[in-house]
Amino acid sequence: MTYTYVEIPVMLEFPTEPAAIMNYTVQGRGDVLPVGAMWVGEGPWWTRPPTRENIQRKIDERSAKRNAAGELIHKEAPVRWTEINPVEIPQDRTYRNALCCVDGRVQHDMVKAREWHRAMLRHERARKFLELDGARAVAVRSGDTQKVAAIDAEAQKWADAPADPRIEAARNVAELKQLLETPI
Amino acid sequence: MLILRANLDDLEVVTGSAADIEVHLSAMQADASTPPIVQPAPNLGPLASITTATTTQILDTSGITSGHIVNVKGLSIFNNHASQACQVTVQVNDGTVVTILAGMDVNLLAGESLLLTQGGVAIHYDVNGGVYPSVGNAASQAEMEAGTATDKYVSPGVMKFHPGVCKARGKFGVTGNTIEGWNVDSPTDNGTGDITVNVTTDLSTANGTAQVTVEMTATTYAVANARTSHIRFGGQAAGTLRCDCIDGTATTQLVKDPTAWHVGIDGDFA
Repeated sequence: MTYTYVEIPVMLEFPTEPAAIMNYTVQGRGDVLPVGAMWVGEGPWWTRPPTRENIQRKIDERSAKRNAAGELIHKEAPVRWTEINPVEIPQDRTYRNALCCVDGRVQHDMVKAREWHRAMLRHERARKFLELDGARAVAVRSGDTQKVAAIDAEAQKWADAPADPRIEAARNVAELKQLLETPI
Repeated sequence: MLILRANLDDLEVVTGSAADIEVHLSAMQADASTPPIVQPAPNLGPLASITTATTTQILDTSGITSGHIVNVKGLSIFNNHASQACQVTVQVNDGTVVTILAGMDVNLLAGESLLLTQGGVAIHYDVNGGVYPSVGNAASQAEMEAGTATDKYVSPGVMKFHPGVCKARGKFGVTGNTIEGWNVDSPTDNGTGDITVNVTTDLSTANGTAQVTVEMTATTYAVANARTSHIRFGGQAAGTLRCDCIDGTATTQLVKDPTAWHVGIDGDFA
């Protein structure tokens, strides 16, 4: 019989960091049995029921891990965790860092989604400014004032992009994504 | 050959756990006359199963006349339990001194057996009836970690201790899910381009070595498709590795998801 890893998603929410999704291993492989697990046949596959105690133990282990300097690997401990339905996890990960859990359902936190959207715009803007600066220098050297004005106008659009009121007006991530795909 | 003194030496089996140990003994007794009169030892036949951790007298010579001798022709010990292993020790006890018989102090796994032949040779059989090899030549954890012995063989259960052998590995999908792995447990998707790999059995220190690489998201080598993997700064613990992935866009690369993560962890087990 062929065995595979079997995991169930558990969402961990933090005070400031994006929610993490722990893929809690229900069936795994190794030569040492983890706490709460039992061998499948003679091993090396094991199975571990996803009880609240077992999941909590794994989360506690995660939260306690420290590096060689004694610092925590994960700075924040989760304020809550929820077992989530894998089919509710969006396939499109554009706004992954805005995921949250409300009444056991996976949703996007629109405040975080808008901030993430602005962060993506700022990153793209930094790259675009480099291009525009180069093009503007060429236009200035050739005395093409019309082109300089056009480049300046485009740079202004990029400068204003994070403050686009449509970002605040967006009701869901689909509308935000539509803005990303629309030319500035 | 095993010869016991009548009315003095008793044969005992010590069981270390509550399994189901079945014992059968074959023995003869001889008196001191010339020629000696030989007859079966008393109370032969299958003995009651031993199902607790205890010491059981399997040959009681107290009823035999002093000066006679008892010759044990054969002893069979079988662990009939479905899953419980049991440390089994066969010893001679004269009331003052206890002597463990050579080769007769073994861990009998479920379905295994131990035989003492007429010639006095102890044979340990596995569940399939195969004779155990000499475990005295198997490398220990310390010998595997030293990695220098040339007169030991490596058994599957200790190969992992060699310093050159990978301690944990896995291929993880974009959401941190385990696609394939060994000794990895409950990986976590911390966000875009950020996962934590947890191992089942921790290393002894946070200073193991690790290899992290990622699969690109397209075949074209555009900066936006490039993916560079990292061990996150300060992201290595004894049983944890946190990894980042970024693209190649200017002016500061953006954290991005790869198609898949490939992670291997080496070091030392406790």
